[in-house]
Order: sequence, then structure tokens, then C-alpha cells
Amino acid sequence: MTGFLNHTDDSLLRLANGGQEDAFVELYRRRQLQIYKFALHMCGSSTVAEEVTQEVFMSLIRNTGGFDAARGSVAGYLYGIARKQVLRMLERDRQYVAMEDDTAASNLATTLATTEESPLGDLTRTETVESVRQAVLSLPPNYREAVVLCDLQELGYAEAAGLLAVPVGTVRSRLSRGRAMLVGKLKVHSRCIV
Amino acid sequence: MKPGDEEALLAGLRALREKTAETGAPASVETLLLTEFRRRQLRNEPNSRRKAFLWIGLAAAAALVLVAVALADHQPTAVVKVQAPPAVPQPEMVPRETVQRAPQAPAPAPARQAKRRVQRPQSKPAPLAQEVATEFLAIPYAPGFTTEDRGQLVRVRLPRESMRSFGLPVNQDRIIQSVKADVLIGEDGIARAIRFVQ
Repeated sequence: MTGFLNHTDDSLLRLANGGQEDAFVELYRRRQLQIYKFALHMCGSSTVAEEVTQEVFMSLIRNTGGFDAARGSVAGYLYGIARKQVLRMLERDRQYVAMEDDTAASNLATTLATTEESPLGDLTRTETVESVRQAVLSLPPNYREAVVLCDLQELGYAEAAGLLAVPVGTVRSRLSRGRAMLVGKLKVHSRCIV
Repeated sequence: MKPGDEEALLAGLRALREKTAETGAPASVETLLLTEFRRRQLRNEPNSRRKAFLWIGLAAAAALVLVAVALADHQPTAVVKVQAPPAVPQPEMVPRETVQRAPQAPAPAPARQAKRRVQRPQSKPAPLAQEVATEFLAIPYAPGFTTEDRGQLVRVRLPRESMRSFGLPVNQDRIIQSVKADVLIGEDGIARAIRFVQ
């Protein structure tokens, strides 16, 4: 497997399409983490994230001729499939409205109440990380994507814009709006509970 | 948004990012994908081999038909020459003055001569009862052909040597001669079977 370390994603995909199993495994191990985390942050469920990851790479196996290097990178192609899968799942699960996570809200409120400097307090504490996660999940999908890609997956604006098929300016504005919504949501939680 | 709020939020997002840094799909996903990958490879392999054979077969059949058509185009001219009626006397090139002074038996009218030349009794199809044909032999690598499929039978002439490729014996003395054959062509234009006729 070490023989593929210097190969680009394109090259690995070509080899995998030619039937080289090691190339497929290398590509999977290189990219599955990002795809899984993207789905996890977007859906909030490890089961769904697992399902999405599986479907993304299954599509790669089934649709051997679908990728066009002229239209973007392999990573972008994989994210594109993952995004479609995630949005489909969100649409599917929309009828099931999630109940407010009281424990997480309570943790957040406790933290915020004991912090003097900022109403948001220290969000890095273990118990409040979950609150941030819940707040991210409650964002509308458009804003959630921007926050997940740029803040949680550390992609550049241009890269995120490419994946979302929108201009860079749109990504910036969605990210800014998403962050503002997150702050608002976290503040509302704190006020309600305190 | 206050600067303090944004900093706190970014710190919270960073903490969430770090918490899930090593989170990935379980090994069972990789196993499942590998199983599917191998299954696909196994299924694709015979397909590609079958396709290669199919293309070889098509190329061979196309070449066969082309040769047959080329040979068929040449045959009629040769047959007419061989069967020209010898009884018809050729007109002599005699000067007009000589004919007036010593009249001879009238020469055959040119129109009649032309008419006779057109006659090609040998071009009449031979009665089928006189023909002896081999069984239909499948053309190698051609797609399958069942009794329910429709096709067309085309009479062609092939080099006698081509019988060898179907495992039939060939008389060495007549190897340069051609042989008649019926080629069964499917609705898709691909030759499926052949029988040699004598």
C-alpha cells in the first residue's frame, strides 16, 4: 500500500477503475475521514455518517466513468456525492423533528452563567462542546454547510465555493451569517435557562 | 456580533473540530466496500473478455462479407466471356465496292448479333435440387442466433480456401477456385452462420 503514497487522487481513482484494489483502499483511507466528518457534522448521527460514507464510495465503485478531472478534484467529486446524500437524508428526516436536547442546553447555560467575560463563556469546555454541536445542527442546511466546511473542516473559501458550486462571496456571507446565527442561538439558550 | 462572542464561538468550534479529529467510519464500512469492489471486478472481467471476443468476431465476419462481396462483383463478367456462343459468324471488314461487285451471302444483322450477345443462358439460377450444401456452420465469435431471430440469407462467392477455416476439407488442385456460400446475416447486419454450396 505504501507504493501509492505519492499518487494523486486522480491517479488512484484511475488505477482503482482499472481494477487495482490497493489503489481503491488507499483512496478510501485518504478521503473517508473528511467525508465521514462532513456527514457527521451535517446530520449529527454517526449511523447516518457511516451510511453516507458507504454510499459515497459505493457510488465510486459503481459509477466508474462518472468522474471528470476537467470539472474538479476527486475530493470535490466525493464531497459532491456526500452533500447530495446528506441533503437527501435531511429531507427524508425532516418529518421527524428533533426535540431540544435539554441536557446540552443545561450544560451550556451552566457554563454561560458562571462566565463573567462573555455571555457565551468558555465554549471549549467538554460539556459545552456538545452544545456547540447541537447549535451547528440546528442551523439551516445552507449556513450549516458553510460552517462545517470552513470552520470544522478547515477548507478555504475558494475550495468550499467549488464544492458548493456557489461564488466565494456567497460562502463568505453564508459563513458570516451562520456564525452570527450560532452566537444568537447560544445566547438565547443561556437567557432562557438562566 | 461582538468580537468577544466571535472569539468564543471560534474557540468552541475549534474544540468540536479537535474532539472529532480522529473520528472516522468504522472498519466494517471498508470491509463492505472491498467486498463490493471485488464482486464488481469479478463480474466485469468476463464481460471485458466477452466483449473482446465479440469485436474479434465482428471484425472477422465483416472481413468475410467484404471479401465475398468483392469476389461476387468480379464473377459475372468472367462467366459471360466463357459462354459466348461460337456459332455466330463474325462480320468481315469488307470495302463497300467489293460487296457491290461480288454479292455474297448476307451477313448476320448487327442488331441480331447484339441480341445474341446479351443472351446469357448460363446466368439462369441453377435448380436448387442440383445443389449440394453443407450444414450451416456458426461463424466464430458471432452473437448467438436462435430460431426465433430473423435474418437474411445472402448468396456469395468465397475463395475455396476459406472452407478450411470452418474445418472443411479442400481439394488442393482447386484451391484457387471460388466456392458459393450462403451467409446468414442477422437483423443487426452481423453474419451469424455460413453454408457452402456446390
